[in-house]
Amino acid sequence: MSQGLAKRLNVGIGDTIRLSMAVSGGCSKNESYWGGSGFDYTDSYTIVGLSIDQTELINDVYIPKSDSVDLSANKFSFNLGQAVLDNDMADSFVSDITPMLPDRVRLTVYDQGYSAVARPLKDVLRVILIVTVISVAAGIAVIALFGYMFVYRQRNSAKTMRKLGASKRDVYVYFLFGSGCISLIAIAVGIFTSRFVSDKCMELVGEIVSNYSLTNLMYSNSNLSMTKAIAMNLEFKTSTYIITGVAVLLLTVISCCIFAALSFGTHAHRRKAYPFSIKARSSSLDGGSLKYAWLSVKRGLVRSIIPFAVSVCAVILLLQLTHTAQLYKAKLDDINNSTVIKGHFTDIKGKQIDGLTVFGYVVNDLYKSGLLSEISMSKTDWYIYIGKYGDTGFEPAAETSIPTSGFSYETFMNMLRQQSWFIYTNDLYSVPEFYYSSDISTQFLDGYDSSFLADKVADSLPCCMVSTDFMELNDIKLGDTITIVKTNGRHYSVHDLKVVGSYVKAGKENNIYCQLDFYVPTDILSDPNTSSNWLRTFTFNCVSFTLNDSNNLTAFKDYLADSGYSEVNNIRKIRCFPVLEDHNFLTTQSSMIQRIWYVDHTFPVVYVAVELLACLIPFILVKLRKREIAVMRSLGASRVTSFFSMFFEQAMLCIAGSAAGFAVWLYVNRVQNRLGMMLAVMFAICWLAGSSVSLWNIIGSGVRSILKAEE
Amino acid sequence: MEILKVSDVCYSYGRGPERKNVLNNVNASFEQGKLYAVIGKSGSGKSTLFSLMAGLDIPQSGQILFEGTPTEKLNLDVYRRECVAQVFQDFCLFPLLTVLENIMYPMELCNVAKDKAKQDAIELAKLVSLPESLLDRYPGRISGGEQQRVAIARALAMDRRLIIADEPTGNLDSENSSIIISLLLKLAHEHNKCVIIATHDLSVMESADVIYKIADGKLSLMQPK
Repeated sequence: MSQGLAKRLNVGIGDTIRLSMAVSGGCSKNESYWGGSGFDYTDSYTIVGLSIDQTELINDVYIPKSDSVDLSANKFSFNLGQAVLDNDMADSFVSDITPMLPDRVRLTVYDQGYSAVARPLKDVLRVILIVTVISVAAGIAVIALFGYMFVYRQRNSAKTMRKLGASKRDVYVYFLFGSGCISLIAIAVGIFTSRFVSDKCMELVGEIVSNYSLTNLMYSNSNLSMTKAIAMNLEFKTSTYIITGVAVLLLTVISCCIFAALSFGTHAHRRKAYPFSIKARSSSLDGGSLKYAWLSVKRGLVRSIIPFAVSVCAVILLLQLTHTAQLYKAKLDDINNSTVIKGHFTDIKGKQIDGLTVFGYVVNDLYKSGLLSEISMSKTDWYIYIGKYGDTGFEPAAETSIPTSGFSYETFMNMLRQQSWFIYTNDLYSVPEFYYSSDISTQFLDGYDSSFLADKVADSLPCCMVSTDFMELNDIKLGDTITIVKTNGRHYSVHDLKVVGSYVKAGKENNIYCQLDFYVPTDILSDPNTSSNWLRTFTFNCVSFTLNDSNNLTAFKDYLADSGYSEVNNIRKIRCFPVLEDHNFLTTQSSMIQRIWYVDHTFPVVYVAVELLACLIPFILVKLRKREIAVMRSLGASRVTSFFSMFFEQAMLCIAGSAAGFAVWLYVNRVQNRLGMMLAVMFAICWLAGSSVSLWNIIGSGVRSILKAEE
Repeated sequence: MEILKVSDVCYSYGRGPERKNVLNNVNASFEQGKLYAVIGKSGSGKSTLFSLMAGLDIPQSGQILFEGTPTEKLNLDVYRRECVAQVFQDFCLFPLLTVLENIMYPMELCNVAKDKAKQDAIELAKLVSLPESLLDRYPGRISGGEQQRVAIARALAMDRRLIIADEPTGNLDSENSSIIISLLLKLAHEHNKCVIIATHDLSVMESADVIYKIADGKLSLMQPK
């Protein structure tokens, strides 16, 4: 128990106290005390600890959960529960348990800021993984190319060595030593360069993560939990450089070894030069460049497969990346447009949605913001049911004498304050009983629905809704007129009400819901010219609202801040505490914005890299065939014929590859992607441009110099 | 009858002090029906002279006259396509075209009808003693001597009167070498071609009607038969 309570009871640690508890169903604390129906469980407890005094907990006593106490009669057995979840399990926990929860139970996981840190880091890790895989693949490809070129360019030297008596081992040692030396120099330059690049990379990662926390959390229910700041302290270890360097060195040497073995193995040359069948059906060459290109495509095998496969992969990559980027943006728009953000007023700790005192001018302020689509409020009084008007006239429920003064009046008022609630509201779904309900079972008199609560009170009678239990108990039908005595705690009054609707109650009380207009003329709340003094005379116990557009979230927060409203745990000029239920929205939005940010920053680099490769690959492929072009020219082929013989081949392979890539992507995704299409077309254009530049370069050179030149 | 005349041709490589005159006022005359051998040390300028005669380049000064017309005034593409044929030491065949297609290639450049091109190519293959079974093979799948015969058959396409062969037997053994020389000799003497061969091969020199020697940038007649 608390220190204060212990002091008042004059007990301390080790002392024994006897506690009586009301555990029966339908028994409130007050009923237990006054009604004599409670206290059906009593036991002795030893005080083992004292808590530091806190105003709201000063009278609380904590006892261990015991199997000897039967709590099954109560609908909600426990007031407080706590579950400890492993990190990163919150989402799956919520999704698993939510279907099992009763309608009114709402579960919120406060993760002490874990997700705020983990999500951006996960995104960064995902990007790093993608970049790493691409880098490793590109690195291995470059090393393989180096091995091929290093061996290929020196094969004549190697053959000469062999002719002069060098053993195969000697030739291998020559290649390994040469490639190793070049590789070591390159690795040293690479490490030196990447030291600088890594700093920039780390800055980028830090920026990505820190951007995540730029969300506006004012008035957000995110503030109801703790948040953690991210301290990025990333750096590469020296061992990483060393391991990478050693791996690159080994791969380079192995690459050279493999190509040397392929070049100087048995029959290697024949296999390499002519991997296809001995014979082919000779065609006519009628058709000029186009026919030559087609034959070359058809018979080129690996030489043809490479451009085709590269085009397929590149186009799929471009389409997928652009689609992903567009998808993120579309999803963000969708989230912004479709999300309904609600809010409510709460107490200073952010724990209560009812039992508040929200003045009418506050509600008027909300209307004046112009940023809300719905404002719901309720005012709670207490009532006693007196009777109803039946066919034979007034039928009293019980003999009820209403004292007008003295001690009996005070007793009567005390008794009234223990009765069920009489609630004025304009929206059944926003009253405390149903605030967290998604579905309320209701029934209405013909011509009425739940919107009657927001209507003006007709001249005849105010209308109300009562619970089905209440109707059954008092034999009331829809359309009956009932009489009640209600009080606001100071005064009482007698009223006739027309029952136009019923509901299945979610709590134990038989509350009556009545039109808000019966309490306050609703038009004065929304009228910006209504004087504050008049509005101050009206108070509400529960106020909630809905933003007309989630895009106005920041504007509404600014409006609240400018007006001087307080945040939970942060008291300002107006001691009303609005809370916006935007935690999930902000989390999702922030995550999407984060992803869009790095997509916008990293994908264009990939686009440019792919387009550059689209220029470079055909440039090299065509360059490798300059001797073929020179032979054509030496046989009398014009520049145009020579040009198009190669150009058509590259065009066929690139366009066929791009079309195949597009078809595959379209088959899988079945959506239009204009930017991706443009980049795919650009890829083809770059490919053809690379081919053209290379061809013009070759054709511009003298035929003689090409034929004379060593490969 | 004179088909090609080399008149005061000069050609040099490099600039300034590095400049090297490879051909220095070279003069020569070539006639149809004869086989010419041009000999000289490596780097003496044989290949340069041959590339000029083949229309792969034009002289820096002087002229090469084909049937009286300087090559710089000719469309060199047309000249190479219709007037002069080349045979290379390393054959220079298209690896992805079959033997038959390689022979047909110059005809395709001249827009010969496909049936005629095919028929002519088969006959040219017979002329150079290529078995029919090799016609649908890729060049990489036949021997060096056979490849050189394919190159010669290709050179004979379109009935070009001037055949320039730069060391055509350089990569061949003696047996294949003698086959190629006798073939070139036959082309000169029986088909009235002007065949010019750059060579170090003694057997070629013995077979040649005229031998030129190139040294110090000068071309000199060695041994008119």
